[in-house]
Amino acid sequence: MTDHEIIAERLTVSRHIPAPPDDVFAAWTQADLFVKWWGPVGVTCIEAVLDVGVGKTYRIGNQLPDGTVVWISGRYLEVRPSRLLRYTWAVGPVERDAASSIVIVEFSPAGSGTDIVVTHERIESVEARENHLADWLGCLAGLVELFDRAT
Amino acid sequence: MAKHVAVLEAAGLVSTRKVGRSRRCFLVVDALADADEWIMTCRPFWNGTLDSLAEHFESKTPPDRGKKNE
Repeated sequence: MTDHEIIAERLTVSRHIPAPPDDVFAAWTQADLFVKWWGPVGVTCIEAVLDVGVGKTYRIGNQLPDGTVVWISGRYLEVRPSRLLRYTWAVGPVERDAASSIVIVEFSPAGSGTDIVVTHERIESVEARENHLADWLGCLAGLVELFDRAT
Repeated sequence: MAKHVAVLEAAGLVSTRKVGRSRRCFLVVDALADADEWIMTCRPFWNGTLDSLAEHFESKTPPDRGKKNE
């Protein structure tokens, strides 16, 4: 992995869950629990293989209302029990090294429950873009200048 | 300046056209629409998924909390 990634898009979704972080983390990392809740209404989790550990992989089978199965797979980048998970996320049955996005799940104690924050970042294909990084940084400075001049 | 614009152009965010002695820049809205579409697809997915997680714990009768920390 390179030391810089270019985030193309990022979205954050949060929710309060009425259970302590230990339980919520378990629900997110133990396959037998995971299949019981994963997915929005209408999506059924038909299989989850979660080999939780840094550098290890996972795959999730999602059955859509029309019967189609969509696989999501990736590799764990960071695992802090009951606190944080960070993993790559790609649509397809096999984890790809050049994953196109990263998911971060944060668990924080809140009262008797847990505040959970999911951040999903879409990454530009790094190999294609990294050579442009220096240009980009110069470009941003130039862009400011450009608008300063435009009257 | 031309170099900066060339980078934006290479990234597909801007197109340029020569008009007389000057070069005009145009924002390529489609490039942003792609980002917008991604967010519009992913946000409902995660909202729905976290709703399911909350419901899972709300409907659950509290089990005897066997400690299963790792």
